[in-house]
Amino acid sequence: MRDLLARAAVTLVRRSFRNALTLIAIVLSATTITALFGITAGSSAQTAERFSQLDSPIIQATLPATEWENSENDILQRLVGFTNITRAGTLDLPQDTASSLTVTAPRWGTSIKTNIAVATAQGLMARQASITSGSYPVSESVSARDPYTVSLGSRLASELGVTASVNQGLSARVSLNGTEMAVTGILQDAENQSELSTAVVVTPQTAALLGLLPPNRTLQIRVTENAASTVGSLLGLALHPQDAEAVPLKYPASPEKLRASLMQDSQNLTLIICVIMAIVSAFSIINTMQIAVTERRREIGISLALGLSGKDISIQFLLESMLLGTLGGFIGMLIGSVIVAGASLLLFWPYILPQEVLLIPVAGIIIGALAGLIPAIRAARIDPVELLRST
Amino acid sequence: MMAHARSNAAPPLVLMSGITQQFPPNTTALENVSLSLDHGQSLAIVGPSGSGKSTLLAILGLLEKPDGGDYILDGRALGKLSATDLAQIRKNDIGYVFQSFNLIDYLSVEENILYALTIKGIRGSQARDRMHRALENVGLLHRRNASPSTLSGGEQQRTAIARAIVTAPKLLLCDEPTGNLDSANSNIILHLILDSVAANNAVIIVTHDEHIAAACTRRVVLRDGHLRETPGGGTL
Ligand SMILES: Nc1ncnc2c1ncn2[C@@H]1O[C@H](COP(=O)(O)OP(=O)(O)OP(=O)(O)O)[C@@H](O)[C@H]1O
Ligand SMILES: [Mg+2]
Repeated sequence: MRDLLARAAVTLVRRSFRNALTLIAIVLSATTITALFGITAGSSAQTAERFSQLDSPIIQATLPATEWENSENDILQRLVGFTNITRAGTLDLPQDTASSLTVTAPRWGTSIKTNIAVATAQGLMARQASITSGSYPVSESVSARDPYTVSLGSRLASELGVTASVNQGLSARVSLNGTEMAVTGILQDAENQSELSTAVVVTPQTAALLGLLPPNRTLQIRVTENAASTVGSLLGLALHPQDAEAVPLKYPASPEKLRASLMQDSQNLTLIICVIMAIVSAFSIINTMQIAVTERRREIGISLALGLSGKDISIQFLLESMLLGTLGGFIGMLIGSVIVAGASLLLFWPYILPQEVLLIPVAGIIIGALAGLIPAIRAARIDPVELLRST
Repeated sequence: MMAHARSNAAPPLVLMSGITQQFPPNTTALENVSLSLDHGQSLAIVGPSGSGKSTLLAILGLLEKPDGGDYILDGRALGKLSATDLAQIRKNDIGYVFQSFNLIDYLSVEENILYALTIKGIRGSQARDRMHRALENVGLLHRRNASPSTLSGGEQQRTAIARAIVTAPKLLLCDEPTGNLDSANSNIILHLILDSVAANNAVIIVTHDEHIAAACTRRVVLRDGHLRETPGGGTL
């Protein structure tokens, strides 16, 4: 066995030109695989990093329009039993209301067409939108105060030129579709909710006065980590006992799930490419070994005549093929690692090289063995008598 | 002569009887061939092209199994041996010199000989010593590092002989070893081969060259697969 291995190694070195070509093919495959592993890991870690800054899971329950007649407290009362709900409240986001209106700042005469969001203080908090200046009317007491109040998204407020006034606690007024309103607060952008920054935000009461109540009342329900599906399964019944199905639920993409699925996507892609590369490498080895068998018929005949058995010849060819695979896998892994390092330096990605790349030389052995099998068997079948006859 | 003294006492080195070999579709390469060869003998096999000479040599050298007949080599019946056992006997007892392309082209002259020695389990300084002597014997020590492709035909055959006899096989088989050589080189090769014959071994040479056949102690003719002993050997 030691002799066979030594011979296989010598042959690889001596037939270096022929083997170099195969080796290059294998090295290229292994390099690509390594680089792919590393670059995928690096880039998806990067992408995942961006997503992990997003908020935690929310369930949006869409209640029928009749629910506008109920107070926020009445509705939230139905959720009392849920320990996994950290916060809930009404917020029909601008993209949900889909109704637009014209805001005018009388002082400057600026007129802007924008969207309306209908919210209670609880609803805004559930989506982590906060009031930076002024205050937001608490819905239960809205009748006690001036119902003609409005809050403005931060960008909208600055475009209308009312930010300074609100900041200083002075009265600022705008008109919505011609109805004058007092600006009571400015909303800071909620994370992942940039539409709010250009929106007009009013209480349900105000929306009703303006005739802009959305056709549904959307409840934003913030739940603790990983509780979305548990809560979701019971929510319909709790909110609308008569007909749970009448309350459609939406789960705005959970960043964790998104992250996991992104990682999975890229890993699947990597895996597919790796398998293809492995097959290409295997064929490359099969090809070389096949050619080698044909080219080395004489050598095989000589070796048989000198006393090797067909089995010895097979093993030698197999070992050659495995050495070739291992060597190619190893060199490719090294080059690939360097490429990943280079890419991560240039693109400011984290340098992540999954431990799995260490399997590439091992895969090289296996692919080498599999690919070498057919040629090895063929080598043992060579009729040494051909050698006697050849001139 | 020592050879005769031994042949009387010991069984023959080669004892073949009733060997037949057929090739598909309907070639009978060998038909009921019987042959006995003693230690110390040199045998020339002559015959027209296609008469089965190489086939017989392949069977003698255990590279091919005959379809029928018995073959006893140095007292050992080979018929029931496994491929591994046969390889072992080739390794220990048989040397081959072909007409051409005897050498592995990506190995140097000395590596070709060392290659044979490793196969036969001889390594290290012992192998180097033997290689050295064998190349000296055939006058190629100065070409030891040359690539086979840079050798002349005669030099290639001398290397092949050096490799075949470096382990002193019991049976040396040569298939037209001088077929591609001029007469001067043929003579050198012939003498190298015949000089290797001693009391404990034998040589079989397939040849078209009557001069070579005449130099051997025995001579057989193959014609259409039939073997016939002819007088006229041992005149050189
Ligand atoms: N593998 C094979 N398949 C079919 N026929 C074969 C095979 N090997 C040999 N033969 C046939 O057997 C016969 C004997 O062949 P062999 O090579 O032994 O002749 P030879 O005496 O060595 O001829 P030459 O002097 O030309 O070398 C020939 O007719 C040849 O065609
Ligand atoms: Mg022949």
